[in-house]
Amino acid sequence: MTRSHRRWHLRLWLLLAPLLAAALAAAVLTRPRPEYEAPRVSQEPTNPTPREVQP
Amino acid sequence: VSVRYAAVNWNRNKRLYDAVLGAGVVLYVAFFVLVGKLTWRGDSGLSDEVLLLRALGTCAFLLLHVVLCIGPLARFNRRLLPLLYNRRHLGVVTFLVGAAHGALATGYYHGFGRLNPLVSLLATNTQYASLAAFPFETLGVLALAILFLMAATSHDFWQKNLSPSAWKALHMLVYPTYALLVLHVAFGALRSETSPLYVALAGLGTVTVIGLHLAAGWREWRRDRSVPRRSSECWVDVGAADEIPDSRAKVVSVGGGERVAVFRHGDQVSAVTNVCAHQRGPLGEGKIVNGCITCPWHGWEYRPENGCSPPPFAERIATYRVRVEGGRVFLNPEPLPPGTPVEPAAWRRLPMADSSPSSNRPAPEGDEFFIGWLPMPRRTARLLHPVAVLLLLIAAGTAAAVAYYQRDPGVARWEEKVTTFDGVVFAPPYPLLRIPGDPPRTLLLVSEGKFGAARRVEQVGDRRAVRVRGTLLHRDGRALLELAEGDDGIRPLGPEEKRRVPPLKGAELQILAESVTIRGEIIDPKCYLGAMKPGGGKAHKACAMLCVSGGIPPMLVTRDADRRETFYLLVTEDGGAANELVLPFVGDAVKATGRLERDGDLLILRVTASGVGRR
Repeated sequence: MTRSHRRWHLRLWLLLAPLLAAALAAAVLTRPRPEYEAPRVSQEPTNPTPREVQP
Repeated sequence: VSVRYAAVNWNRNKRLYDAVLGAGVVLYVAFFVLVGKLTWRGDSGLSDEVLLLRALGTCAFLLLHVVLCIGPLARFNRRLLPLLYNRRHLGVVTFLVGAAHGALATGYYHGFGRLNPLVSLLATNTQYASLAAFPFETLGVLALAILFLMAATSHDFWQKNLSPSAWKALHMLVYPTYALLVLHVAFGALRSETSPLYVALAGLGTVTVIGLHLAAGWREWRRDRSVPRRSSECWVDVGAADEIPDSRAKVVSVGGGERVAVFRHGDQVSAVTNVCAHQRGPLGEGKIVNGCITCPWHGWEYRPENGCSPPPFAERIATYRVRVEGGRVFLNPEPLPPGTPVEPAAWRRLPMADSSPSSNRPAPEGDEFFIGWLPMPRRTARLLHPVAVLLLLIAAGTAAAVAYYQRDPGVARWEEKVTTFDGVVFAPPYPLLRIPGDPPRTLLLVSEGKFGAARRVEQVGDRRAVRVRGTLLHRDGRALLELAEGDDGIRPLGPEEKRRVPPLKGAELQILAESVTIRGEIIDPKCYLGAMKPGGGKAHKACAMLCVSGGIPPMLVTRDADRRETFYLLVTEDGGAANELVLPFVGDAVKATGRLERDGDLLILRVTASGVGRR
């Protein structure tokens, strides 16, 4: 490897390391938490399979 | 190395390398699919396409980690150089596996809709300003485009024609590509999957790659800074000649220039640049084989006395003047033009050293030299065989763990058989069928692909008695019918048929709450109710947007503590279709505020633009 390549390589990783860490943290920490908040309403089943027409 | 260009200059080591690589990829994908199939079965099963595209995607990501770790590992331990020798094949396979993932994901999530899949890939979700909705697919497309460029130019033909510097610069793009893929995973899979294992694996991989590269880079930087003392203005004292093992080199940094490799071959000392003309490999870590300095990376050869490759090759590297005085080697740090002949300095052993001259000593432990076209040294093989087995075990273990801890897709089913129903069809705001009974049942109607059924229902007419045929999708009590293609998918009932249908009792609209806020996810019910498994979450967002923009009615789904799901049909404040209003939020975790109504067995939430937002 040439000297300039070695320098470029180190600088690139010094730049990428905090960027990747920050992006990973941002993506993971801002994930929506599962919430179980819903009005108490009953939902009747709509599956009409038993009423199927047999032509 | 070959005189003519050939697709691949095969040798035994390359064949072994590729065999292990192929076995690893097959093992990974097979384990992933097998464990995925065994873990998620029946109505809880994941779609085959999803399993395969996830297997391919995670496999490509793992391969890229291996590609990136090989370079620094080979710098820390020379016996790992065989992993580097054929690394380009590993890179090309990484691209191919990644391309298969990309093609499958594009066809599956972006096909069958109102847009060309490639257009949809870039145009359906354009919310770049949002962290939650960020279109991670674009990052994958960019990464794949760069990987393609690198795979397509990986052959020596391109290296020769682009020039080694340009080629190397192009292939350094693998580092930004890696960053793009980490972000692709972070804003895609990691926001869909809930298992901490995914975060742990992604974090471990990233820390390993970054740590190895920083450690290797730091070591090289320190070596560049350690400059030997100068004995005069133009000569540098490199050290004692007998410190250099026979046929090996000592690498020295000289001022701000390139490193120099000072080789000893028997009683002769020569110096050449440390940079190979091929891929800038470290020549000083190579060995003189058959009278030629042989690069440890790919076996390119140069004569030590003039820096020229043996005929018919024409590569040349810079040479340096060197002299030996009193057993010490002195180097003139000014490089000579590539290919300049320099008389090797003669080194006469001191009489005291005659009893055990280093030139006659056996090669020191660990001095074995690997290059692909030579048989692999025994000690190197003893290290590499367990490493290959370890890598295969890591592949199988990772595949099994990632497949096992996938998010539960829920219990949903897409019936295979065609079913027929008679009822009354309603068009606005969404096409649905009311099936008479006590109580009457409601079926949402959609067309094939990612399209609603509004046009087909309009052709028949609103509130008409019809017969519909199609395939049922259902999940947690909610059902939907995909109308069969052709005229018999939906048709008005004839007078005789109408008489057999019981009258539809009018369902009373009931207001449950004037204003209520519900937290959940906006979904396209066709995918969520069984067309795709899983049919929700960030990874599916673009597909859901394509479905909703194609006319499939948007719904809000909530889950209670017992994981029971409730579905709310979303309509505008005035009761119209809310597809456009909620489109940016489809696939997102949202809170929606509006009036809650019950219409028969349907729960309806009337929302306004300001009433829907991400949570």
